[in-house]
Amino acid sequence: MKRSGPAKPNAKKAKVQRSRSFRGSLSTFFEHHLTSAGSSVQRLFARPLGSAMTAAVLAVALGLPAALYWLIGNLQAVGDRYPDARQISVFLPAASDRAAAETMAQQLRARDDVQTVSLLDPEQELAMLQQRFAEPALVEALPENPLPWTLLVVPAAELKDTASVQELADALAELPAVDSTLLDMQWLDRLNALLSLGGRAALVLAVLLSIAALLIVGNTIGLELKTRSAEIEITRLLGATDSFVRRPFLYLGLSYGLIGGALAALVIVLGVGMLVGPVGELAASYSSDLNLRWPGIVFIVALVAGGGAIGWAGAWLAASRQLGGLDPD
Amino acid sequence: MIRFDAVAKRYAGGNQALEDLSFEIGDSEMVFVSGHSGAGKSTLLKLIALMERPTHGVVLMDGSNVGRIRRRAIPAHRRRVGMIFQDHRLLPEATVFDNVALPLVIAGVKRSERQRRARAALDAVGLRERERALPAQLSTGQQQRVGIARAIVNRPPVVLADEPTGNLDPELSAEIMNLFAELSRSGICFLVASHDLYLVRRMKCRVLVLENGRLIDDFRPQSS
Repeated sequence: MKRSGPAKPNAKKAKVQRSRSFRGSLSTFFEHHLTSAGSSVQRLFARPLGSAMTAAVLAVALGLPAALYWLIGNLQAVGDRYPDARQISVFLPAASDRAAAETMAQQLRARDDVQTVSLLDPEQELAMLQQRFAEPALVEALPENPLPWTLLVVPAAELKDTASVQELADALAELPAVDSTLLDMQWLDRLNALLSLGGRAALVLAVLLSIAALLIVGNTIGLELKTRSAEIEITRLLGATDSFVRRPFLYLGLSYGLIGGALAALVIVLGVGMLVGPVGELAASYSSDLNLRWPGIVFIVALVAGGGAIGWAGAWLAASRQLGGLDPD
Repeated sequence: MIRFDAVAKRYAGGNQALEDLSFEIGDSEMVFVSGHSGAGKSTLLKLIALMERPTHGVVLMDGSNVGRIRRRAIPAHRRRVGMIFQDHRLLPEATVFDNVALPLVIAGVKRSERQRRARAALDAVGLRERERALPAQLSTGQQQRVGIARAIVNRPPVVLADEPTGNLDPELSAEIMNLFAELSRSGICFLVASHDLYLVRRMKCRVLVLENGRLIDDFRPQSS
């Protein structure tokens, strides 16, 4: 115990020195990262045309699936606007009056397979229609109100799938006091089926084009590695590790990917900007306020980050492949 | 510092570059490796720098078996071996200073320390004033001196030079060799491959003579 006494301060000193030198090498480590990143950007701007072309190809590869994904998101938003699509419209014969409609409503509310029933008054509906029409005189010109009394029936919560709701609609249509029924659900089902198909297609496209993007970056970085092979060889002979040699190329790949992703995001935002006006006008002509959604910040960040990740991975593949066989083993 | 023990190297193509080679070199010794081209001079240096592994025998540097160093540890080994090439192999786009400081960057030396050591190395080869120049702006002899500064900047115990004066006229060659001799006195072990026997003799250093991969002579010219 006594002997270890005087040794202690020395051990402490050694520890302090070690941590200091560790911190020192840590700071030079970051310094090398910084200079690697800086020289990569310099290299990009040294050959602006070639770099721009690579970035543009990446932008297409990243932008296509991203745009498709965004479009599907928009169409899904259309479906989300109709959460009550399970609703059945029950039309009464034209001759029916308010009393008949209310009796019918009572009758339907009593059923187990019906959750709620609301009444649509033809007079009110016509007035609303007149308001929404661009040409109110057209409605005024009608000899009589063509709208029938209508009951909006929401099926019981147990009826979830289209088939059982359709069954209810058919049953209601059979009632003697009912003219016909209409179910809104089918178009929504079809839309959803189409959207899930589109989503799958976007996924397949995204995977394929991501691989393409990976290969593009890999090929570009591979060429860069070839043109700088003399420099790589000399740094290796001076004792550079694989990761040291690889680092600037990884940053180059990262830069390509980030620029490609940003370019893709820019093109999509510009495209949406060009479409928002006409789509709004089109929707307005159908008296709807439906319009395209702007791509959100998460979408843009994900696109740029995804590009960066693909660029990094492509560079890693190329560098590992070319550095692998250089040392004796 | 360096010991070869019954070392043989046969290349994949069947070419026997070295055969049964044994010798020992002490610390801060300057030794020439001489012989015709193809005698195995470069292979000998490559075994020390771990650019090749021996087929048989043991290469020891500072007591550790070089041939057994694992792939991951090769970079650390190479940082302890300075290398000078016939065609100097400087980075053409980097300044003289950056070329000399490159081994320090690789070794992760701090910036302030890098400046101090790179300037000291440039001082040692007499090129301190040209540190901002690009290699192409220097003469061949000056370029080779930058290569030497780069090889010694990290204070490696061993420096290998493969035909360092191959592209230089006799006067410049002598100048470079004298620089080596001076540096070796400061504690670096120099191993210089050269086929220029006239120059080698004049330096009065120990000479290993290779022929067809075998050591046929190991002598020190006497001062006359």
